[in-house]
Amino acid sequence: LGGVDQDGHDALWVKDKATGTVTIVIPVQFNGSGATPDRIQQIISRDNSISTGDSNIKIQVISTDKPINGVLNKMNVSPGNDAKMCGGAGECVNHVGGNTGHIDSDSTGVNDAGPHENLHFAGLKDKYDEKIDKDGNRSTPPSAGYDETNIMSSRPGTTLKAAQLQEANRNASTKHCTTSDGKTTCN
Amino acid sequence: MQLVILASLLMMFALQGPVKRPFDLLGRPIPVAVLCNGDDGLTSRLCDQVKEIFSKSRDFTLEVANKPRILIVRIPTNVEWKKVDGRAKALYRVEFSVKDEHDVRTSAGSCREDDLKSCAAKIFVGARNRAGITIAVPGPHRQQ
Repeated sequence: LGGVDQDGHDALWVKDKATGTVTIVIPVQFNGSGATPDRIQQIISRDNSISTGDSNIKIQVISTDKPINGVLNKMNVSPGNDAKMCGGAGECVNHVGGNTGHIDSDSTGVNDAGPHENLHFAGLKDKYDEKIDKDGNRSTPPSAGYDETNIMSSRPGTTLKAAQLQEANRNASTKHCTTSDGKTTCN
Repeated sequence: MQLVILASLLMMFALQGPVKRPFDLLGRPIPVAVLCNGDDGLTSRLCDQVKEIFSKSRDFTLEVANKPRILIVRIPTNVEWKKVDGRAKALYRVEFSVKDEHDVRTSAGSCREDDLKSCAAKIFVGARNRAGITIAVPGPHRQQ
């Protein structure tokens, strides 16, 4: 059962009862030789500064070794590809809404891959369309209605659309919680 | 008697016209491109399996470049999954189209995550069906 989400939860949709604001919490345990404090900080700060397209919803990736309300994802950061989990892509999370990932610390885009893959933990889908031209060049331009600024269309992107946040809300492995008077209660 | 039968067959052929196939390639393999819109592990591994099954087929030739007339097999979005009896089940959608034609056929299916080959086999069958049922321009074979 390797790769299967054992506890069924990969992100938290935390709603503040008083204000109505929502925080999508993605707890991640970074491991591997490439998971240096600097790199972890860069990956997290990219995710947590994403413009979500909805001022009432924000993303919060938390680096932790312990589950938060029963939720913990694991992201391996080390040299090379993980072909067993990721196939030819080499870097991935096991599923959209999965709980295990790998990124290649030797890749120059590692600090872009990490933030993108972390959002897959929460159930966000890719937003690009693979194309192939007559010369055999493959490209992945953004899906219709998206552009290069969107992190699920292009890894260096810094934005999301409000509709994409609902993918995390609907994701079967997202745990829904409410905070009230400093206490968090989850379903 | 034989002449009557022959005449009947010729008449039937004249009425129906030549068999119309999307890829009139005189027995040559049909060029196919596999495109996948998703970089999660489940989608990537299914995509790899689909490419592999086409690469081993004598009916198709897996193309790395676009051609004027090519069958496009597209997994349009990340493969979904759910747990069934403690195991992950992959739920895919796939589109079949011929370049420069508007007719896109869609299909969906599922298989166990640890048996993605069976999903790839279903997609392969769908591609064969798509290649065989599209109406092609009748007439002389067009060189690619």
